[in-house]
Amino acid sequence: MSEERTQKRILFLHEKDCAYDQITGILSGKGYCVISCFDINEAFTHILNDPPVIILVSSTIPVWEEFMSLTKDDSVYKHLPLILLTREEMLSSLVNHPRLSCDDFLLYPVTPEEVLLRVQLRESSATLNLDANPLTHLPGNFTIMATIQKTIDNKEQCALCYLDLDNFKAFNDCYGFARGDEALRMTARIVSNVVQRISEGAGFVGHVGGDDFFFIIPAQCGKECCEEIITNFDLVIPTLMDEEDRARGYIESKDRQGKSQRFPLLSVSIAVIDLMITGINHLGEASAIAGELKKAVKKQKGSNYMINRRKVRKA
Amino acid sequence: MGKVVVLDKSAFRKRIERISNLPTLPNLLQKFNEMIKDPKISMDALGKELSKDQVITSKLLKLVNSAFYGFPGRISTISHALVLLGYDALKGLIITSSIFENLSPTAYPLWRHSIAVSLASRKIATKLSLQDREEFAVAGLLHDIGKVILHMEAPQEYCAVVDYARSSGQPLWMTEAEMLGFDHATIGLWICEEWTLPAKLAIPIGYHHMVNRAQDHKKRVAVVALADTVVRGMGSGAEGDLVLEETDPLIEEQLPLTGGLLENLVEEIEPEMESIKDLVPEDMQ
Amino acid sequence: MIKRIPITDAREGMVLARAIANDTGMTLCAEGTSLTEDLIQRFKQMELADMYIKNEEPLSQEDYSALKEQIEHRFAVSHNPSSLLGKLKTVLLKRLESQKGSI
Repeated sequence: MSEERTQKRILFLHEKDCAYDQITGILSGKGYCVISCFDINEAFTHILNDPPVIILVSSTIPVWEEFMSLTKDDSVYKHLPLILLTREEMLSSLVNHPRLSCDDFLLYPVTPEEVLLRVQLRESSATLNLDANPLTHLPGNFTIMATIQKTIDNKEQCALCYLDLDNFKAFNDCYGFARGDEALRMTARIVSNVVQRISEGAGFVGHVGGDDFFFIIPAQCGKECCEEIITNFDLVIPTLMDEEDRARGYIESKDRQGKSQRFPLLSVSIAVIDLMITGINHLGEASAIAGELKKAVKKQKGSNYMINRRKVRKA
Repeated sequence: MGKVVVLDKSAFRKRIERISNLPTLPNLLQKFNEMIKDPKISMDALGKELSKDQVITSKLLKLVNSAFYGFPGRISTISHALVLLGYDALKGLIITSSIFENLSPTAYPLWRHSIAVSLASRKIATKLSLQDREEFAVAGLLHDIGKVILHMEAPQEYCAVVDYARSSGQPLWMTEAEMLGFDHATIGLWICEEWTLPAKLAIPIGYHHMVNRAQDHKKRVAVVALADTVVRGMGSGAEGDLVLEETDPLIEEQLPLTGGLLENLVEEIEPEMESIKDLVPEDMQ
Repeated sequence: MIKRIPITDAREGMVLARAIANDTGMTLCAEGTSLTEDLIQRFKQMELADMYIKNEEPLSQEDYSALKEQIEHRFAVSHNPSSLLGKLKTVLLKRLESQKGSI
């Protein structure tokens, strides 16, 4: 029974009456464990309990679109490759579909070999998504820069927010890189959840690298978002620090001379550029302003945010 | 009454390892389903309601402590779990909980007992000015999760165990150990290991009947053991658990029960225990 | 002793054992408030279903005996009054005693 654990799981969501023994058979033969289900609630249970490496969805399931968007909207599960099995007649409506969020498709009638090849290719390409941060799976630098420029060009009424962790190096030195990674993953979750909730899906979250994160939210949500991120961060992050350090209020680390240095506990700093107040033409300007703001925020103790209120004067 | 031997330990443990569909109290689940419909629901309000249900709480902790999220074994409270899971994952979890069989009313006393021990654990932690009261509440809530597993995985065998404990007057956990080969606290410990829950939860769950065997987190074990004793003394033990056994002296070593602390505790817990009766209906007798 | 009663059983002079709050969690009436006809009417208008009152009614001899027996049964193994179990038993019996009416 424990082989189940090491086998790669494929979740196959399809309607009850159709037999897919051929497909299931060939996939099982190649080391995949196929979990069949007929109902999206059951499918979610499987995803939550033990995420599969690939999801296959048949468009004959009535709520396939809902299932697809729910899965792909979630920042944790959206990187799971989703392949849609559909009919040729549906192609034209799919081409014009406003929000198709699958990664690939297959047309009935499929040959088992086709399914196998698609699955194998998708499985390996999922791990090659170069722009996504390997630790947090959030979009990386290229996507972030493109999104900023697009936001500026479209004159969207947004706020560009630059977040990083204070005293992260000392934290890593003291607790090790593994715990540092945990801190980054927690930060990613916290920021993603707050942005998702408050912006009602209209926001964007990216991970530049290291302890630098970036997010975009509607301008009027700026204050609320930052405050909630800070509250949540300060609530949860202490679980990563030792009780003695929390009680003392600092961590101790040795510098290169072997001398003991005290560092404050991990906190977060957010620099916010409200595009409605600050006119910006190019993302380079945004980075420059953010840099200045960040210096000012980091001077303050603990977790803080600051919104840029100055207009940029154009020559 | 003859001794019953169930499955061997390792086979049962393997079944445990695959449990992900524990059923929960229907009226609590209904409330959660209602609340989660609103994406703007306050996480505080939701957390408060969720803290009454041991099954959903354990599922939340299992999910947030899973390797998939990247910080296994760190999270021990509902409020932290909610912040890290986010609304969508939470909604998924609650919706999927609905598809499982409803809990049999014979398990209701166990729910009342668990909620009561959760409240009592929090009160004790408050009175002794201990940090992280919510962690104590969660440990109290989940301390008998092993019994829920037994209800689900071996209902007939467990019924026999409970009956024998009741008629012989022997403590239930001892009867479990004799008749099944392992007790509910051990099962709870297996679950915690399987789901990578933090040690500060696992130890109180695993050692609340064997306080002196805990190597670590002794204070937490003592609090949960005390809460369990007080709640059972006040009449809200789960079935088969109505007669108390002598407590371990470690409890008094770890917790300063000076002045009228016990009296205060009983006085404050009483109204809370009354309100639990609303939440979890009394058996039809 | 605390008792939960439906609003229809509420009477002037009863004392609240738990505060009554409105839908948003704001406390309307603190614990310990003595009910008046006016308050009861207002609660009825609010469509309050039930409330917790302090049951100052003394326990009947039968109830007292039954409850005492239950406590004795639960604490059957406890012979030492200064053990934790013994202390708890004493506390519970004392509380029960204080709720007994005079015969």
